[in-house]
Amino acid sequence: MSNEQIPIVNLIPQEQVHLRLRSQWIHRWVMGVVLTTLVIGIPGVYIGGNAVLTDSGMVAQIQDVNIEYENQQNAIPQLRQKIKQLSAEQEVLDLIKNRIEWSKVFSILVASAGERVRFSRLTATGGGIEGDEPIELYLEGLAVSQTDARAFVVRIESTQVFDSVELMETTREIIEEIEFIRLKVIVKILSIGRTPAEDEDAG
Amino acid sequence: MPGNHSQFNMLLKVHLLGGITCVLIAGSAIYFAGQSISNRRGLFLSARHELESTRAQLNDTINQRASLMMRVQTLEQITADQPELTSVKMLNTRTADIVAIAESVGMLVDSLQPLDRITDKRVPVQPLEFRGAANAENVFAFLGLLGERMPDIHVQSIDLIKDSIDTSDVRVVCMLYWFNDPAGVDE
Repeated sequence: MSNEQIPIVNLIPQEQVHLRLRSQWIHRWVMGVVLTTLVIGIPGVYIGGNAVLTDSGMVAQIQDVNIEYENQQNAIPQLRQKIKQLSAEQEVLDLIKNRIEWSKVFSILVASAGERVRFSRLTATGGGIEGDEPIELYLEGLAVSQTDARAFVVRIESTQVFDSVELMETTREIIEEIEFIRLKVIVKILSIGRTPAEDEDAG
Repeated sequence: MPGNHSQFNMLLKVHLLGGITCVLIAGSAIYFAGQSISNRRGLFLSARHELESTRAQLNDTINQRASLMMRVQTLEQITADQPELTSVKMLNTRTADIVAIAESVGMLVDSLQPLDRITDKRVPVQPLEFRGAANAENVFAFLGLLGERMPDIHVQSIDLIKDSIDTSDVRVVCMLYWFNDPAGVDE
């Protein structure tokens, strides 16, 4: 009878065999759980936690840009105010340029009067703030003769500085036993655009 | 056999418990990582969009500011070579200067009074009424000097009246318009 033919008799009690098998499987599963934790659990928590905690720096960049934006924005109202002031100043300066040089106008009138006409009144009004109103000069004076009075008007007209020259009235008048011609003249300048100074320069 | 059946049940419980534990650990880890990455990406995209839009606004503002700065510089260059405007607050200084000019050419100044300020026109103007006396040549010299030294003062009206033919003196009534510096207006 060979050994192979001898029936194997397991002397270990069946219950003990079951417990050993169960223990082996529990041990394997514990190893499996540990392995799963090491291979998947910990890397997963690390990756997830890293993703939560990592700051891309975007927030800081947004804050920087916002601060710069606010700085730039704050400067704009000041610049607008400055432009408003400068524009208003420029407007005034433009109007200032649009002026008539009265001393030159009066010099022309005095030169035209010569020795034979004397003014008793000279009134000038107009122009206005914006320089767009017509200017009117009222001249009243005494001429030695009617010819002198007319010649005076012609001389004013020939300067071509004024838009219209009108001899309103002439009357005979005796002052201290000498006869004079009282004359009243109205001279108009419709636009200051053409000033006597410019006319002189052009001449 | 009852013994084998009991063993099978026991092992099944062990396998179930082990399998569920592994799946739970793996599933939780993957879910946590995936969820965190997804949230992070959402936040990143949102922040990137916000950053881009803020940068665009910043660029617009910078361009706007540059254009305004250029306009200011242009206006400053234009006004730099022109007469300096004086604030209406300098009224007394201004009238003193006008009187000084008048007296320097031999005019007798009776009065120089400011009238009601004109504010309803395009630019603010302070009218000044000048009354005095001089010979005609001095009056013309005064007007010439006034125009030269104070280009911001315009003669709005002038009345020269000679009371007697024997004298060369004339009475002068003159309305001066002083164009103020608009920046000095508090109203």
